[in-house]
Amino acid sequence: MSKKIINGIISLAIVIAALYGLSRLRFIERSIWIFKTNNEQNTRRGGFERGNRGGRDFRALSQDFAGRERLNFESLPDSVRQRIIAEGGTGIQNDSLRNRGARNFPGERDEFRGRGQGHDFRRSNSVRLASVGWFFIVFAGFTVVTIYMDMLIKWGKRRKK
Amino acid sequence: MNRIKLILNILLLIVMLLLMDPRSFYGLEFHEWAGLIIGLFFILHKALNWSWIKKVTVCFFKSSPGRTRLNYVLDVFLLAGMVLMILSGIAIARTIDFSWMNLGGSRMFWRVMHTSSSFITLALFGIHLGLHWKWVQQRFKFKKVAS
Repeated sequence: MSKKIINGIISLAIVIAALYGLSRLRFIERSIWIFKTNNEQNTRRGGFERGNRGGRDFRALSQDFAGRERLNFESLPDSVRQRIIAEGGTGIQNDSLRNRGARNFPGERDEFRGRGQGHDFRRSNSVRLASVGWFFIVFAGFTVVTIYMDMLIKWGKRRKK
Repeated sequence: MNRIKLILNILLLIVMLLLMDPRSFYGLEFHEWAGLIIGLFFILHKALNWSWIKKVTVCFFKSSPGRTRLNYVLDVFLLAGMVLMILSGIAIARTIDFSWMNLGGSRMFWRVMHTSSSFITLALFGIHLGLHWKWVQQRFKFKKVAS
């Protein structure tokens, strides 16, 4: 009996930790990403990359968020354009998230907050198992819930008989 | 044979967990190579259980118990998840050149596909283990008796 109680307490602890892990890893949100987006949205700024599922392209708007008239580079006076170019580029040409590289994708960056930001992680000599631990707990949570559901169904069937 | 299956399954689980975070274990290079190797592990896992797959496939609609059907359907989803995971991984690979495969689609699409399919597959792995928990318990009990 005491063994069953200990097993029950451990299982409950795993499930609670797994629930915390689910929210920490944004597990459910990221699992259904693929159903919330489509190919076109993914490549448009203001779409998936900006966390806006509607895929709205803000560059197409004539006004900015403050209601000011949005100026494009071509409509600026010649003197202003030359000054901007002399200062090192327009900044307008390079505002695409796509040009900044996939590592700036906010969803991915959030997960690894504070660890190796800005560094190339293609080849690393480090082992960081903290997030792996959370994935393991979530995995164990699914296993424990399935085991108890299975037991519950079997118990229900036995009672019916 | 059961011991080989158990070791293979434990290896699959460990590698799968290490693959969940590409930065966790020696960077992206390990992630990509291990991702390909886990595909081979998975095929081996299926090959070792081929007799069960064959038997259930033949009599899936005739005389299979509900639990067997549930396991079979879950296995089909797991297979689909693994295929999507590996395919999307190939499409977004950086350290291994798979450009000759020309899979098409935007990089972001494959990236989202890779994340979603890996998360769903991990959850399915957990459910799969839960449904086979008795088998795992039997294997560990057998180990205790042997020692």
